[in-house]
Amino acid sequence: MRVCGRGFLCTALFILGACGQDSAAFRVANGADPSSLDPHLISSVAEGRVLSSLWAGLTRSDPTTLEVLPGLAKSWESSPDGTAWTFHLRKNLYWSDGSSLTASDVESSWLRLQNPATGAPYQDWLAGARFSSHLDEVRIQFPAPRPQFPAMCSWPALAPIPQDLRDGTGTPASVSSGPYTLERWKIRDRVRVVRNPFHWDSSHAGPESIDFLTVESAFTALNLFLTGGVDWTPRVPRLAARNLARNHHPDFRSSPRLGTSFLRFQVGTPPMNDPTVRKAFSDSIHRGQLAELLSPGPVPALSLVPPGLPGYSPPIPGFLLGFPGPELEGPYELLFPSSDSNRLVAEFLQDQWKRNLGVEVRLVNQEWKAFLRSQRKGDYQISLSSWIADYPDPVAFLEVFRSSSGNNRTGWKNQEFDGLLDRAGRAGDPATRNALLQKAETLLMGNRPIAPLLHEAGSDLVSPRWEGVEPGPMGTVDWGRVRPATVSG
Amino acid sequence: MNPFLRRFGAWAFTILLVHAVAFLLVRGAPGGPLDSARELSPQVRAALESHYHLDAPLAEQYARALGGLLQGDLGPSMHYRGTGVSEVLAAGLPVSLALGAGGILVALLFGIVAGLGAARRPGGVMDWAVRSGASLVMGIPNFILAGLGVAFFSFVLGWLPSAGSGGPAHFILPSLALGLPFAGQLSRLVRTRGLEVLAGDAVRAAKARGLSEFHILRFHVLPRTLVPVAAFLGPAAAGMLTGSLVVEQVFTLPGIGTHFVQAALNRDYTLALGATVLYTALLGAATWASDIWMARLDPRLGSR
Repeated sequence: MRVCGRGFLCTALFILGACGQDSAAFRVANGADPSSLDPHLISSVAEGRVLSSLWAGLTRSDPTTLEVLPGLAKSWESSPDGTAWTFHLRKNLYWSDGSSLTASDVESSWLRLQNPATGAPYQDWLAGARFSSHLDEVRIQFPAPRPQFPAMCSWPALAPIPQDLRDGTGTPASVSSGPYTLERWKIRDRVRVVRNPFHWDSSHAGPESIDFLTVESAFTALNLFLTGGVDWTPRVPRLAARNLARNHHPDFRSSPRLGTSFLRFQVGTPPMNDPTVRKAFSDSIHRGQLAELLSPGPVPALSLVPPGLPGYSPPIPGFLLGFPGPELEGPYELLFPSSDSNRLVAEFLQDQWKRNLGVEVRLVNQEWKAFLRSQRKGDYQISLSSWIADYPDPVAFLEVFRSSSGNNRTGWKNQEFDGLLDRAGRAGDPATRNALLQKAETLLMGNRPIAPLLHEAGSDLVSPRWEGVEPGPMGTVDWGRVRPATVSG
Repeated sequence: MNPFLRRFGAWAFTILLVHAVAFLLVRGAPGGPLDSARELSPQVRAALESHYHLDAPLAEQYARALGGLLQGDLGPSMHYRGTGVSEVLAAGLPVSLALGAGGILVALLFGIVAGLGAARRPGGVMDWAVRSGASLVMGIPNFILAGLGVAFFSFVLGWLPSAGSGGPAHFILPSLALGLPFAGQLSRLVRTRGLEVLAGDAVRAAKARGLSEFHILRFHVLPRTLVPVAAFLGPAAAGMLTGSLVVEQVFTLPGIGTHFVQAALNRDYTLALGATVLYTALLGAATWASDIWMARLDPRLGSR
C-alpha cells in the first residue's frame, strides 16, 4: 500500500511539473501549427500571421486599403521596360540581435529562395531572376516585366533572412527582422513572440508579447474566446457566427477577404470539354441562396478576382439563368474535400443542378491530400476549389490559370489569355494594365474553365480589452495599431 | 529461455512488425507529403523528393526507414521542415505522459475509493450510486464527457480552462475525461473483490479484535484488492493511450496523440511512422510494467 501511496504522490507531482508556463499579453487562436518559422518555407495563411510578425518585407501592404507601403525599403523604382526593380533600403536597419541588415543580405536571401534545394514553395516567384546589390540598393532583373513585384514583397516568403539561417547553421527566427522576435516555439502549442527593439519602426509597436496558439478546431477556438483564454480568434464556427451577427455581438466582426471559392471543370475530357456544358453548370447556380446558406460574410461571386483591389474592377460577365442549354446526359460527378461546410455547399449545388438543369450529379468527397492528388492529376469532372491571394494584386488570381501554371489544374490552355497577361505586364501605365487584366478575366469567364461561387469573408471575435485589431482583406492586422482599450466613463 | 529476454524479444518483434505495416499503409494512402493547394515548381518538387528519398524504390525507402529505426534515428519530419521526428516527439511526450498519468491517477483514485465504498454496504445507497455512476461514465464516450466537463467547469463555474496548455489546471479536465471511464470499470472490479475479502476470515478476525472500519478497509481489504487492479492497469494504460488521441485533440494539448492523427493527414510519412512506433513501444512497456507489479503483489505469477 505504501508503494501505491508513493505512486499517487509521484504522479501528481509529475503532472504539476509538466508544462507550467505563463501567458503573453495578447493571445491569438491562430489555427494550424506553422510547419516552420523560416519565411522561405511559408505555405499557409495561418503561417502568414505568425511569420509577418517575425519577418519584415521590403514592402508591406496596408491591412485595410491594401496599398503597398514602404517596409525595409523606403522607395523603389522599375526600369522603363518593367523587367527590373531597384529597391532603396532605409538607413540603419538591424536584425533583432543588433547586427546590421544590408542590401547584400536581401540579395543572398533571394538567391537562397531561388535555389530549388531550399525547397521553397514560392521559388517560382524568382524563377529566372538575377540579383545585384550595392550599398543600400538591391536590384532584381526578371526575364519578363513583373509590375506586381513590390506588392509580392509584402508577403513574408520574400523577406530577407540572416546569414546563419542562409547557411543552415541557425534555428529559424532565432534572429529576425520584424516588429517581433521569437521567444519560443513549442510545436503544437504556441509561438511566443516579444517586441523587437531593433525593428525599423519600433516606436510604432503593439502588445508587449503575443502568443500564436495552435488551435485547429474553430469550436475549441470559440470556447477559448468565450472563457477568456484568447483575445482574438480569426475563425468562428458558421452557426455561432450567424447567431453572433444576428445579435449584433459587439466582439464579432465579419469582413471581406481576398479569396474566392469556385468550381474547377476538367476541360481536357468530355463532357466538360464542351464550353456550353460548363456554361450550363456554371449559370444554373443561384449564388445568392448559397451566400445566404453560408452567411454571415461570403458574397455571391461572378468573377474570380474579388472586388476591393485598388484600381481594378472585375468584369461582370453575362450570366443567364435558364438559357436554352445543351442536352445534358449524366451522370456527372462533383469532387470536394471532406468537411462539413464543403458537404453543405456540394449538396446545395447538387440540388441546384437537379432543379435547374434536371441532371443527377454524384457527390464524391475525398480527404484533403487525396483530393489534391486527384485535382493535380485532373482525375475529376467538377471540383470544389478556392484561392486566397498572397499579395494584393489581380494577377495573384489570374496567373493561376495561365497555360503553364501548375495551379491551373483544369487543363484549360488559352494563348490569348496568356498573351493578355503578358501585355498587361509590359503596360507601363496602371490604367492600361488594369484594362488588359480585365480583358483577360473577361476571356476566362467567357470560357468558363471555372465557375466562381463566392467571394470569401473572415469572421473574427476580438476581446473588448483591445482596440485596433481590424483584420483586413489579407486576414492580417497592423500590430502597431493594436493597444489595450481605453476605458471610457 | 530467460523470461525477460523472451518478453523483450516479443516486444521488439511487435515493434518491427507494426513499423513495416505502418510503412506500407501510410505510403499506400492517396496523395503525398508534397501535394499542396499551391503547386511546387517541378525543380523544387524534384529537389524535395530527392532530399526525402521519395524518388527511390519503395524497398530502398523501407530499408532506409528500418536502418534508421535500428540506429534510433527516425529521420526528418516532412511537415515540420528542418525538424527531426525525434525532436517533434520528444517535445510532445512529456505532455502525453502527464495526461496519461493524470488519467491513471483519476482512474485509481475514483475507482478504488468508489469500489471500496460500494463494497462496504452492498445494496445500500452508496453502492447504488457507485454502480449507476460507473455505468454512466463507462457508457459515455470520452469526447462527450470532455464537452460536458467544459460546459460545467469552464462555462458555468469558470473554474478551469476550456482548452490549451499552460499549467496544471489545464490537465484537470482532460485527465477526468480520460480517466473517468476507467474509474467506472475499476470501481466494479474493486467492489467485487472487496465483497469477497470482506466476507473472508481475515476481516472477521480483524472485526473480532475490535479494529475500526477504516483500519480494516485500509489495511486488510485494500491490499487484497490490488491484484485485479494491477491486472487491469495494463489494458487500461493501452486504452488511455488510444483515448488520449481524442482527448488531446478536444483540449488541444500538444502531446503526441495529435501528431499521430495529424501526421497521417499531412502524409508526413516519417512522423506518422515515428509516432506509431512510439505508441507501440509505450503500449508494450505499459503491459510489461503492469505484469511486473502483479508479480510483486502475487509472487505466484512471477514465474510465468
